[in-house]
Amino acid sequence: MESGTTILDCQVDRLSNLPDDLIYKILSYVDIKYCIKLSVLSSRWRFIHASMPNLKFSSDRKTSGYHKFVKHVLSARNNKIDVSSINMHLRTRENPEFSVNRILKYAFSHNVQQLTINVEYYATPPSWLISKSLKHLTLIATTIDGGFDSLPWDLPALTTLHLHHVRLYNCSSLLAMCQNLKNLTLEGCEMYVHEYDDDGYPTFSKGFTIINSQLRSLTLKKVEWNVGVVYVDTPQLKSLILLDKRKFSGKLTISARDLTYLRIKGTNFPKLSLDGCPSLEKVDLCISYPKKKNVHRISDVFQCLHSVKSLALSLEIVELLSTSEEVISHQPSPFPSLQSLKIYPLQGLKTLDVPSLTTCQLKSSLKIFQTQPDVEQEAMKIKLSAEVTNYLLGSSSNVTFTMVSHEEARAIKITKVAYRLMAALWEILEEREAYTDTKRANVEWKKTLADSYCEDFKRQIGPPQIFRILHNIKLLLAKVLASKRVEMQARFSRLYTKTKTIVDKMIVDMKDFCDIQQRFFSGYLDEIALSS
Amino acid sequence: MSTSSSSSKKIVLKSADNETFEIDEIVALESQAIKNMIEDECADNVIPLGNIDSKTLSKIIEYCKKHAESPKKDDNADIDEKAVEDLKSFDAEFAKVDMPLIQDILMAANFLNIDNLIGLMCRTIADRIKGKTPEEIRKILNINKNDLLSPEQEAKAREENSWAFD
Repeated sequence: MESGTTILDCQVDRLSNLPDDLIYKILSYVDIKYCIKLSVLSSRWRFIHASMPNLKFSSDRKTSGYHKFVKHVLSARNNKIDVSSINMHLRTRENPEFSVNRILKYAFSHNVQQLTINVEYYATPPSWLISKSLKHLTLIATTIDGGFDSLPWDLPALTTLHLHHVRLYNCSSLLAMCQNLKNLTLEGCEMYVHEYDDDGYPTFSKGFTIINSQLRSLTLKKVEWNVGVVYVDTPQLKSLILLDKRKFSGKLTISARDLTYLRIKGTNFPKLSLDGCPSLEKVDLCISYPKKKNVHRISDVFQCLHSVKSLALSLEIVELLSTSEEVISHQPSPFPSLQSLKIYPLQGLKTLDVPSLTTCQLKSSLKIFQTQPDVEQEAMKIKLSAEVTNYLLGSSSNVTFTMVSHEEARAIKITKVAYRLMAALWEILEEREAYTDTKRANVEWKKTLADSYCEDFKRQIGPPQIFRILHNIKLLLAKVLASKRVEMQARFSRLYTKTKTIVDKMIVDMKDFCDIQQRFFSGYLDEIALSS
Repeated sequence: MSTSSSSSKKIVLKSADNETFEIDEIVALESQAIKNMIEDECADNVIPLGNIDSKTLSKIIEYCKKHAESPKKDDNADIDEKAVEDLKSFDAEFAKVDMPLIQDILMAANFLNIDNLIGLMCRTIADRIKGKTPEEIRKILNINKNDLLSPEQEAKAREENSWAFD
């Protein structure tokens, strides 16, 4: 603690000299409740919470009376200052809509530009999202009912809309109404479109449409469509990412004359019409298990790629083509403008996730893959017939052709996993360190030590697990991409040093704990001896 | 601190302690302030940065180099997932330095107007003060003793905001 004071004396209080903007920026990552507690820090921080423009509200399930807290926060604010962003992450069970409505009302009357609404136990967001200033909106885990003739939203300035795990009822028109929307992401959403039959009973409709004149970028990730046809009509769209692990048997028709980038990732090749996309330049078809019966879908899509310059295909697609030569034989190459072609394998490269890699000890770096490689089979796959090569590369001689081997693909995966594991371990160490430091900073820490030791035990992040992760990382490092090895080694040695420091600290704590126990037990024994 | 490619245009930065750093122009352009200087043609061969020491400056150059090399996210959204992840892990690693240096980098990044770096440093500081007691934060941030509230003022602040203190 002695050294701490000297540092305090000779160093400048840099932070308090920062302009307000930067302090606001720091606080934008901190929950509002905590920001208010910071008012006791110093005179500089006394009233910052009343004027900060980025507010983060969060509550957990146990919180009660959160709407009263919200009322306090908002009435303590300087009413003349606008808010720029509001993030709501509410888990409270008690009337969350009171809090949400109050916050939204405040936000819209103070020109909010960015809004994130993530509220549990809150089925429907208010239909009245009306703001002239809102530019970015993220909605998580909720339901939107587009209604029929009502106009629920009026967001003329909205450019970015992210919907995560949202149920959308009749929302085609909603998307068309956001007239300045440039970026749209639908992730894990469920779409329902009802139409009424002659007797006024609702029926499921056949199609969902995304029509928007300004949209530049569209990402559709694991969307459950519940319809037969999805129609995208977006004349200015530049980039489309389609990630579909769920089965979508319907047809996707895309009409986007400016679309240059397309990436499709999934198990099956979707029913896709790209007739309305004449400008595609960069295409990545990342399909892991294309079906033989769908090979025509592939060749149909290829026919639309006449302007493509850079093409990436999964080895599994190419393999399917070579076993279905009747589809491609005597056909000219569909890619006259091709400049680069990359083929990469997907099957057999699925890895275990990070949590399981932090709990088990690997015997070899290959064990991170869910299936073990069959070298012979891999070698067979990688041989392309002359016919397929001709079909893909055509007569053009200056196409850069890259074939990613299984080994290289594995190295790429191993590198990725190694990076993630290192980040995970670093996080665990930091958490441990903060925990030990707080405990030590506490004047009476020896009293709480016995309790916290029990708690540590429950948390299970003891030295054994840390060593296990370190061992796994070391194992993976031997097989990472050569170009990353030096950098990753350096990173590993920093991680190693940090681990050592923290484990040493933990061991000192354990020793102290044992001493306390020893004293306690011998005192207890003495007492028994004396009392008898 | 010279870089490899010799063909591109070079910029020389001079730190407060008179150390010079020769970097590619493209790396220097990560700083909006330097970019403006170059565009307005008021940048001489050597740009003196009188308020940034060499330790801070070399960290900033390391950051700018990495970010200049990485593909930019434009409205085409045509960016490699791998490149994004790579940059993310670089950033995480970059921020693993002590608090005084983080604050120095933040001040310098603010002066040089490097938006991403400002964000990264602010997020790092926020992560480090989260969940700490006021006393701990005063120590972490080296808050000037003369600025501390008097016991009466502190009591008043707590009283006013009692609804936020559990």
